[in-house]
Amino acid sequence: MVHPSPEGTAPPNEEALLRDARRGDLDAFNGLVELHQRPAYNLCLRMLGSATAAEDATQDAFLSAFRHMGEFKGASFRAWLMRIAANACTDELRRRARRPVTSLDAPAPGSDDPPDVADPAAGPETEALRREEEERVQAALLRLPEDQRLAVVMCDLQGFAYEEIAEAMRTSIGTVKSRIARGREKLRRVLAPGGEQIKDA
Amino acid sequence: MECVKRLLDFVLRRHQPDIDALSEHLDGRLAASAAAELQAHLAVCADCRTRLDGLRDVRARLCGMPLAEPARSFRLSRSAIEAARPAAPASTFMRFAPALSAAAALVFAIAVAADIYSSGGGGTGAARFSAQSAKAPDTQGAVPAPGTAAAAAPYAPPAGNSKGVPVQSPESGAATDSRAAPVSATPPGSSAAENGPARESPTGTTALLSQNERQSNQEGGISAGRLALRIAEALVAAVGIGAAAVTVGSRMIKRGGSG
Repeated sequence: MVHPSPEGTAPPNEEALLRDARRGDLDAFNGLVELHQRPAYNLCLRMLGSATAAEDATQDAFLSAFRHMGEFKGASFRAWLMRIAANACTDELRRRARRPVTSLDAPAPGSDDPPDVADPAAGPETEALRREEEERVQAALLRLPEDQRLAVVMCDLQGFAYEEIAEAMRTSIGTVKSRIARGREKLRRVLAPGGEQIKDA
Repeated sequence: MECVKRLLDFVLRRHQPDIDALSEHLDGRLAASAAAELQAHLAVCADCRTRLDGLRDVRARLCGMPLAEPARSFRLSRSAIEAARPAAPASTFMRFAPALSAAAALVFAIAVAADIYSSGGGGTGAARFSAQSAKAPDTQGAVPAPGTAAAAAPYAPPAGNSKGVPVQSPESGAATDSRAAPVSATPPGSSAAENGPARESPTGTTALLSQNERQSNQEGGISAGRLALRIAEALVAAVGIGAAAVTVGSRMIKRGGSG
């Protein structure tokens, strides 16, 4: 089952790169990095809500992926990689939970260094509105349980198919559907005007 | 007829819309029959229509989230891979090498100290001598009685003898006697006299015998025990040196690799 990548450009030689990377060829692996770093980074960004934390998690994920290349036997390298990236995010979230709440390092949801995705064609006002909307959705995403957040991010933000999400989360398609549905439902309540207010202390 | 049945179903059923089905419907993944059923339900259920609209809106907002461009590339370099190499595959020995070398050093130090203590007569001799001089204040002062040391530990260096001090000095006799027999039984003065070459007194003979016996016993016992102690010391020292060498070596390799 081949799904087009979100960018719409199917990787031409992923098979060859995978074969060489599995033998420990770093250049081949870096070819895979080039192909997948954008979705991996965006997954971490939406899971963590911070660009710096996402960069660290993405780098950790690629290091871990290189180290465990021999263990990849699944159908989709992208799904396998997303799983590793999600694990790197889980590690970061655990570290964050252990840290005291007053820590300066703990970024306020969505408010920390927002990603630079400015559209040069948009005027400053449009840009401000877009950024505000992005921050609102990001803050809502951070209120979801981790499994629902991952499922929603992979499905709606990155356009992964249920099957690939199930492979990345190592669960059934039914569970994926349910996580996506519950995640969307909670976001609907959180994002609705006058809906659940973000209860920040 | 079918419509009436459906209507009844939906009126009688718990009026909680199936979120999973609504969500799946948005993704176009609902099977045809289920989709038709849902459409029929939506036609009669305003709540579900509202809910579906809400979900659709959320989905649109999520899909509208821009894909961010990472600020840097995540290509790996050889040095980054080496630096991030986990120390996990290190063996148990490697993990405990520093602690092992420290423990070995401690055990070795204790063993050496015990060895010196038992053979040198330094501590024991001095302690006994001070006790001795307290008992007989007028006897030779600074030199520890060699006889005492010899009686206590047969392997004491014969320093006292080379100095020409008589082995059978009165103090030493008192000391050996006080150890061989209870002090209360023999006063220090008389025991000193009995300790001479001619030991007529039965007490003195007994004391001498028991002393000789013990001395020979100790000699045999200690030489075997001493040998074991030496071997143990050497083993402990070897383990300690090995562990320390491995620790230092691995540190150096690690530093060389990362730097």
